[in-house]
Amino acid sequence: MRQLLKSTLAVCALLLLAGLARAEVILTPDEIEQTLAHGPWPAVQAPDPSNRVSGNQRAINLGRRLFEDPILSRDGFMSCATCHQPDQNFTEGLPRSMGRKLLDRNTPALLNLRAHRWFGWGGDSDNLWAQTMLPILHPDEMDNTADNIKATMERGPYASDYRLLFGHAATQSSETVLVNVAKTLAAYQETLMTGNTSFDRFRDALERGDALAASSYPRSAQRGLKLFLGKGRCAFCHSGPNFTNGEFHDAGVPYFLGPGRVDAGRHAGLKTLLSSPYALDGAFSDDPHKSGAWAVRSVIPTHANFGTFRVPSLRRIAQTAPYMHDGSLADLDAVVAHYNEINTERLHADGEQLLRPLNLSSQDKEDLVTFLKSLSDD
Amino acid sequence: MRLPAVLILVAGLSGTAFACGTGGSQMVAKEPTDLQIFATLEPITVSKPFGVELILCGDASDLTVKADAWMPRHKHGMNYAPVVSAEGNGKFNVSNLVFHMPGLWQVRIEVRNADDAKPNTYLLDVEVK
Ligand code: HEC
Ligand code: HEC
Repeated sequence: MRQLLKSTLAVCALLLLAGLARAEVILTPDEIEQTLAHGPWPAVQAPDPSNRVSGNQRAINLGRRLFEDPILSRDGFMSCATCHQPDQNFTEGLPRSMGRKLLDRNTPALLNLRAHRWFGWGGDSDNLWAQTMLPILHPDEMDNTADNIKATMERGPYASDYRLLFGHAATQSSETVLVNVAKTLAAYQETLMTGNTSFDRFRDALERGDALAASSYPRSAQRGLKLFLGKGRCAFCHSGPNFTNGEFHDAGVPYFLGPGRVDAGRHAGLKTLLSSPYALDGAFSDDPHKSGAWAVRSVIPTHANFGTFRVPSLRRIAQTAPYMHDGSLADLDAVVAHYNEINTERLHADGEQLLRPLNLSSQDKEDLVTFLKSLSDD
Repeated sequence: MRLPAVLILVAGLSGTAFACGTGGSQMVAKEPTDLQIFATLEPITVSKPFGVELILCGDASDLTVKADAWMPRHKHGMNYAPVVSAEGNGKFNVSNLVFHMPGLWQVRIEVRNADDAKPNTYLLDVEVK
């Protein structure tokens, strides 16, 4: 009996060892090199030179309180947090956002914002504080005015905090006060970052050449990663440490909103950007070198921008459903099915030819989803 | 100590102040020509702006230089217009090139002569990881 137990144990140990040996890295050298380009993470984050209170702890604290306070809306009806809910990764959990009426777009997560060159699905802004002013003023959202914001900062509960950061609101123009409030909100939002993931540990182990540590990344996630880099062609757009190239593409999501209405995406975003006094080449940037302004100065408007949307980051993607600019895909299975069966007739951007039906097996689809799930902090 | 000074003087006399062909990659001209271009690229990260230094070897006086880049397999170019500045003596700096995807890119330099309206184009293939 004891002998039997002993030999059973020995067999178990052998099987375990064999299992370990099989849990290896299945990437080719080329795929390993491509994988390294998706890190390191977390990225080192420098303060925003266009925002003089970026990184300032007093501003971050004030920004956090303002973010959750409906005082910034005309009638106390909603705060930023009404749509960007802190316990939901700053998403709303609805396909399309509910403002004073149903809006056309999905509320995106507010994560790793310093990594972006453009903000909003269509890139309305080239900096975070300018993007922050849009919902405060938008009639379908907080519907406030710069004059009201100034009055609130002169006398309201935040007057002394405001004064310590920027001086007396009473002595400043309404526009300046609004921009300053947006800069404190931006300082807070910049602190919302995602952490280290099992993908990052895999990637870092590959960089160190530590095959043993790398082999603990599940086989299925590795197969999914191979699809992401290769056959799926995902990494052409979802590139770099933040899994986005920061630019605008057509991923085959319909942009018709109803009879006679379309969401023009980047086409409309560029119009807003190029007429905004709050872009990085304007007077409200605190950066004497205007270092980020090259982008707004040299961006090329083309007709191909029509119906394109900013490539979303895929960090913490499993926790920010639903997906796409209109929230039309409920979960990651639906996203993978969308790319797998993509309707190329719907792709209007001439000849980008990146997206085509993928012919994935059900195992492939599962692997791709497993990989996408490994991009969340764990 | 005297050698560098002599070299600079000689180069100054020859009209092109830079040792031609000793640095950078030679670009391929579409039309046969005596003018050669050597390009030195800054390290490239996807979606980040980078610069290229161009050295024109041959008679580089009165030339207009334009820069562009293209992904031949995807049939699209860049989303930003690069800026070319003439540094004199056949040297040009190109800034704000942004390759927004990994893969094969083709840098295209168009050179136009003052009295000859027909431009020549020089190409360089660059693989971005
Ligand atoms: C009514 C719901 C709603 C409210 C209130 C709201 N947002 Fe948004 N937010 C959205 C939607 C929808 C988008 C996408 C907008 C677009 O692409 O045009 C968005 C986009 C953003 C973005 C761009 C994110 C990115 O990745 O580019 C930022 C930043 C942002 N909001 C911050 C704020 C702040 C700060 C406030 C409060 C001052 C606020 N939002 C209030 C719904 C809302
Ligand atoms: C041509 C560029 C491109 C390629 C290739 C591409 N994507 Fe996307 N991806 C986008 C764009 C653009 C969006 C947003 C589209 C929209 O909202 O209309 C998006 C959205 C997504 C989203 C939803 C993100 C969110 O927060 O809503 C996921 C997940 C995603 N892609 C995964 C993938 C996977 C997996 C692949 C490969 C099978 C892939 N993508 C290939 C450009 C691309």
